[in-house]
Amino acid sequence: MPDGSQEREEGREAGAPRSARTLRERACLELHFPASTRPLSVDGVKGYLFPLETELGDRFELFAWFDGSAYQVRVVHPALEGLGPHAVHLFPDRRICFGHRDGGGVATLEEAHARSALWANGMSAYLRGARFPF
Amino acid sequence: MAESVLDRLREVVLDNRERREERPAARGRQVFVDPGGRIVLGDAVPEGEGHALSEVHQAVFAASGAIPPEGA
Repeated sequence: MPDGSQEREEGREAGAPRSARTLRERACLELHFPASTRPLSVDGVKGYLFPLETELGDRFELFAWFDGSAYQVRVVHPALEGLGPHAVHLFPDRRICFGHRDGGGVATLEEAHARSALWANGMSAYLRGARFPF
Repeated sequence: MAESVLDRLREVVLDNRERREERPAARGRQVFVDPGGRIVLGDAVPEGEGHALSEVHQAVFAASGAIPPEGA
């Protein structure tokens, strides 16, 4: 996952078949993600780096990837250190805990984006001294 | 303006959870996000529009046990 090192643009060999999941992801990215979303491969993990801006104007940069059973999202920016994981629904590795199933992940890339936006808005409130509202 | 959207968002999400409707059918209780991640409440989406919006599943983020206790 992106941590400022070993990032490179994801490539694909000419003529290599795309998986059904990859095709679904491409369609989802075109329709539901910001145009500045970047496919990345980090330490062998392929995913997508995308920005989000909350209602209160905070900017987040997130990395979404499929872990083999569900989509996970990690917070790349800002650096959120020293926060109680239960208070903000964030695992110690800065992965958002979306719920109690699928290792905290979600079933689709679209849901990962939508739930990330809800989480980011909750985080904005938390960073201003409120309880995480959702 | 932004704070009023957040206040309304909180009301909608918590009300839906109380009703155990994580994907409510009523437009006014649905929540969407646009590609940039901005929140769009269901009653603000014009009829027939919103194909690029993603509906937010409003389940709780972490049920107990999803995150191990601190220090574990």
